[in-house]
Amino acid sequence: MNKKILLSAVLLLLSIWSIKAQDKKNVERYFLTGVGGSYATIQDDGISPLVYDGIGAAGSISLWEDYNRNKQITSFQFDINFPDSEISGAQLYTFRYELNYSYFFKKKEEGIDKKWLILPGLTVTHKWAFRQHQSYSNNSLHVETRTSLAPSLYLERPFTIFNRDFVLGATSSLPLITYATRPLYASTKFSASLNKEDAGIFDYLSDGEIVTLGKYFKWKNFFFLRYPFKNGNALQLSYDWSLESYKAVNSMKTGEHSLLITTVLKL
Amino acid sequence: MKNHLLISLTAMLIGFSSCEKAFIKEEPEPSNAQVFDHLWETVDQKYSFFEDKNIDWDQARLTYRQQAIRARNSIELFNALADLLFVLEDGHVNLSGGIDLSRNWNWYLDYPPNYNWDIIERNYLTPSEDYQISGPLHNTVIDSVGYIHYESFSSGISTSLLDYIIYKMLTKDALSIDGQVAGLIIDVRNNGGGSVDNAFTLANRFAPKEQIKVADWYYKAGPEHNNFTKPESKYIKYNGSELYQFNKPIVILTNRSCYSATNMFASIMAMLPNVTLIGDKTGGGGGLPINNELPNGWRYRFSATRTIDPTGYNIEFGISPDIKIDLDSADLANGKDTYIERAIQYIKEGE
Repeated sequence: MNKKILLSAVLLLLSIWSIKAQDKKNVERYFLTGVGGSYATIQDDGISPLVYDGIGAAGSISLWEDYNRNKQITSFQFDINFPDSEISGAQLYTFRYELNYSYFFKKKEEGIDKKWLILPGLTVTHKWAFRQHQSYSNNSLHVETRTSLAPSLYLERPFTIFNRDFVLGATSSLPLITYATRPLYASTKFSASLNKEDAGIFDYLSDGEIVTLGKYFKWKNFFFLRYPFKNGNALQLSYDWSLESYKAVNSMKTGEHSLLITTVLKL
Repeated sequence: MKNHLLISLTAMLIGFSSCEKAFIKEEPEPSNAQVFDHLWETVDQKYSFFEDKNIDWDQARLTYRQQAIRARNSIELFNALADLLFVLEDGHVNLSGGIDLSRNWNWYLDYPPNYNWDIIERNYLTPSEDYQISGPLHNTVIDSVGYIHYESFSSGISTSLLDYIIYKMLTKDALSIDGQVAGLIIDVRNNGGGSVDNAFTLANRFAPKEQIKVADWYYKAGPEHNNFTKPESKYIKYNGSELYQFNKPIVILTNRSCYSATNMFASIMAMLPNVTLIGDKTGGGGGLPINNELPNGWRYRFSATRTIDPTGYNIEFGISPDIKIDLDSADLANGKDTYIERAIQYIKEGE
């Protein structure tokens, strides 16, 4: 299983590298760093039937690459939240990070004389979520992972207001196929970590299941308002929202939001 | 037209994001039936000893569901749920509702206590010039026999701390006696458990250099009563220097209040050839308990694993001693602990 995961990762990296190699010229690169706040709503039957929600902090770094024929966004985002239950008063500590790679296809004439830039594409997402119930003992820390392939859409609309130029944009993705792992039925252990003193990273990625849209649903949306400077850099306000539902042996649903102030640095 | 469509789409996305609570929801005021059913179903699917204890859980539902539905207030509902959980006869099963903690503590309340800390402290520990309180371990030498008292496996112990105590017992310079101790008593009476890791740390200190298997753990793997994972085998092994390895006779003192991690410790130590268990059967508690919550916010816990020793015995039902004794009332009246006296005799005379 570990070999399969490694092989898939290597193939993915190779394909990204080969795509990049085709279009080295006329590329515009931007490095984005964002910090801000987050808000999470969680209902995980492996932990509790109650809904936990609360605020926290979020951050992200990403690389946006604009080629003649495509646009690529590679991002790493994370958030830490302290949701609690209104009913029980108990608190969770949650940490989540996601690695996203999006590839959007451009047509030649696109964006030249049209107001809206609309690009279809594909997104690969790899996510880890850690949820620790502060009042539990032997089953306090739940870990889960997802690796998804999703069709996605990129929208961009420049506009001028008060004689200043802005760009309003959004991306949206909906995974069609996902490899998901969850802990054992009534434990926080993973089956691959049985007979091991400490679980290794691959133990959390092994023995998962491949699920499709009916069983695993995640709608992820990202909105941004960018204010470009004359030197090519920019400031950006962005809002990220995702709604996730996984009908597993212990079903779970999450709603995750983050609002970030981001610096955009032209490379 | 296209602009309107896209603006509408964007507005729709923002709208959905704000009403996700419609998708992720809970019952703000769950009915008694909902609370009861959630408890019954979760335990039905995740509790680990239904078959070992031959529990008729369906019958328990029939018996207590109406009682729960008819409950007029929180206290009556709590009592109905507590009565349901009492059927499991498991000390690891509790319901905590703020107003009370349900428990089944018959595993020790139905038996003689066989323990008197006052006598141990006043007549065995304090009079000894070797008495030390090393972290959670009260230790001394009584009549040339080492003595360690461990009150709770919730209190952490380290190998270095154990090395210190064993070194003291094996090195004549550190002791009031002339020579090494004849053996060691580890008194875990009234130790209700705690961390299994501490049980293994202590047991590893007295294990042989060759790894030996001491248990198989089975985790619940699905909703059927017999759905378990493959076994997770547990081993002990001594990793320290041979200079400090303790090969002399060891007696473990147990009573009915030895539960959970202490029960596990007694089970592990019983595998060692130089170890003898003296006292009463342990209280049991062989499942690792997990926590959960009810729709009304009450918290509960229950066992979700099985532990089987290498002989195939399910340690949920307690570990029997090699030598069964009770505290003698005449000894108590004379300020003597029958268990300690018997252990010293066993170590010195071999019987």
